[in-house]
Amino acid sequence: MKSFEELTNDLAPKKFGLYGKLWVGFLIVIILAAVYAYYQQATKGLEITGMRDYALWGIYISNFVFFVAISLVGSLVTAILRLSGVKWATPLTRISEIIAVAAIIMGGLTIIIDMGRPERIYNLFLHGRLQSPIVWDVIVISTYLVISLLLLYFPLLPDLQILRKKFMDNKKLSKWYGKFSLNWDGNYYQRSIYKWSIRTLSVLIIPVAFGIHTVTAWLFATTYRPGWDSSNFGPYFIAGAFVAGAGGVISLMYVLRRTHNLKDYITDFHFDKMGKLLVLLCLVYLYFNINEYLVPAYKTTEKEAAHLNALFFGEEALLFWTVIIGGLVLPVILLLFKRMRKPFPLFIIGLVVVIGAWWKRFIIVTPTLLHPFLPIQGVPESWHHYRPTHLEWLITWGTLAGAMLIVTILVRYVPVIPIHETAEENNIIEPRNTDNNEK
Amino acid sequence: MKNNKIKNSITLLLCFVFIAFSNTLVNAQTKKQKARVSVTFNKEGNLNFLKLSGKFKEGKKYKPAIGLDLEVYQVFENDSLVFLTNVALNKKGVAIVDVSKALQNNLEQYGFKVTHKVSEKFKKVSKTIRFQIANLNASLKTKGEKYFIVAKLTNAKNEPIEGAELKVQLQRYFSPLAVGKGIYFTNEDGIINVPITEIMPGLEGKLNYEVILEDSDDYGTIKDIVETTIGKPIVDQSTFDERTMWSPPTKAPWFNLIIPNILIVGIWGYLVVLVFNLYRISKHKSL
Repeated sequence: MKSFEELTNDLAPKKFGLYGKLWVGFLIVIILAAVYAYYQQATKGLEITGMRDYALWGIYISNFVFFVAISLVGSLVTAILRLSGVKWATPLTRISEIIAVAAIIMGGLTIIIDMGRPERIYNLFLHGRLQSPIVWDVIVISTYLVISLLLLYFPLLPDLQILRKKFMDNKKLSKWYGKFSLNWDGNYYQRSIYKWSIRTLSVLIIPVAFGIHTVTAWLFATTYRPGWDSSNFGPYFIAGAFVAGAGGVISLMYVLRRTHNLKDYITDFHFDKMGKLLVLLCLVYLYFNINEYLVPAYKTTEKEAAHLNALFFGEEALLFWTVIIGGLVLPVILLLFKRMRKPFPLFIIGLVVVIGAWWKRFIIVTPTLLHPFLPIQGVPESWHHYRPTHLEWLITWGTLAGAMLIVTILVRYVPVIPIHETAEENNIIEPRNTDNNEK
Repeated sequence: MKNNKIKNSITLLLCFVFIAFSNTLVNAQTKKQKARVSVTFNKEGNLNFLKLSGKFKEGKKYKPAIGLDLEVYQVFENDSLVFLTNVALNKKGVAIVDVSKALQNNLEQYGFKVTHKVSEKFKKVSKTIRFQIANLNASLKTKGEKYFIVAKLTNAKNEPIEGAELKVQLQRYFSPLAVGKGIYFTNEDGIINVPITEIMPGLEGKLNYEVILEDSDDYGTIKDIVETTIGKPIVDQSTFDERTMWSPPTKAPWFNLIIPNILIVGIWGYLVVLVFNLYRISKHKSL
């Protein structure tokens, strides 16, 4: 068994090496390019994008839905597994909390990017209608952001105090850790407030997380458009979000395991468990997909038929089948084999699932808009299709790079595996007594 | 000797380049657009006006000649001109000039001239229009249970105008709806008699039919409107005064105000407590 000092040494954040610095530099270059592209958009308007009268939601909204989806992992691993007493997930809680925070920050930003006149956003608060799902989305996203930040911060308090002591030789860093640890010393009062707060947050995040995904689904489902007009959309989005989030956690846990040398903490066992969990989540999502496509295909109303035809056999067919088979069916089949649940194969599968999840959102958002109820007439041929422009892609990559930069910065300064919790679970340090002597 | 020749050639070349370049600059500064101006006479009830419109070609497209200043004159038989007014074209490249007073001379033919003197942007333009006064009177007639739009077109001497092409249409918020075949020719009495075969719905049964003599070379455009109440009354199903999901924010349904606000206040109440807990933790340091 490792000593507390060894544990702290293993799990304390480390300075970036050459590859880490190159990675940060790479992300900053993409973000700067995206800022330039956004400057073009802010000055010239949404004309610089491929969006027109019909495809008025493009990759920005697909990207937004993806960010919202992947942020659900915070509630999956942290709240659901924590509340159900699953101990093996402890090393993964911080990773999922970090992903959730990064994704929801960039998700909120992406909505503003999608606005043609972002300086008029205050009108949403002045004249917003409480009947509108867009207003519900704004409310629930800001609520989820605050809960995610708190759920990341509360469990960090004991770890920040540990880091303050560990980095005593670096006074500046130690001082900052001290400030953010909020004078934590683990006394009875602090621990009781801390435990109550984490439990409350774990309970609170579940309905809000379900709310954020359901409301995002309702942005689409409250219209009559083919492909969106479904009472199934809320659970369908939640199921998809769990898949994307689990894929994200698997990918990041593999990277951090390698870069932070965490083989003793994130073991093959964790990958095996996450692989099995991913199979379950993919199967549930597949079930919802069958519902979403089979029922309208059975009814085959005129507009649904045009939409489904484009997905199954038409312009979007290649993308659609690649996403369904490559991003959902194949992972399920492959992950049935134990060999595929080893770290590296699972990392590749996780990555494919995440990429598939991004394109799945694109398939949900855009093709529907190109099949309106009134025929598209008297407009340029290019308006019949949606092809994102280079600047649009650049901005989208910028938001993805932004999310990854937030993750990178967080893993540079906070322990990716909770030190205090791991120590407690492994009886490396005795948990503090909560009897009256300490009061 | 040879050097001098080269020097002279270079000097000449430079002079040529300089002159050519200067000329281009001057041309660029003084290049004026040729505006195309059109003038039509319009008569609608008691209103008599000229509709002036102007456009110019930029590249392959025509654009409205916004702000083009035009002088409007009345032209008399001896080609003498009487200045009426000055107008500038609006953002759509259109201006309206009321000429009702100028038409009170009981002349056989009226003439108007519209000119634009050279300006910074446009070349000189002049356009003259001549027309006679005609009167169009439309009304609704009933025969049994059938309705007819009857219109009579006469000249200034009250003589019927035969063979004129009149449009009959029903006014709508968007483009008008043609009645029957839409276009009818006046008979020897200057009359058209158009049966209304289909009664359309209207607010309180109101249906406005319009009869138009359009872009006539002799008479301009004349329109007369017949206001009727023969339509199928539309029952007002407006939910304007009710609290609905499609109402403005002040008229949101009660359940839509109460339930979300309970949820928001409930969750944010907990969040405030949780943030306060951070403060409490920082204040409960062991001594």
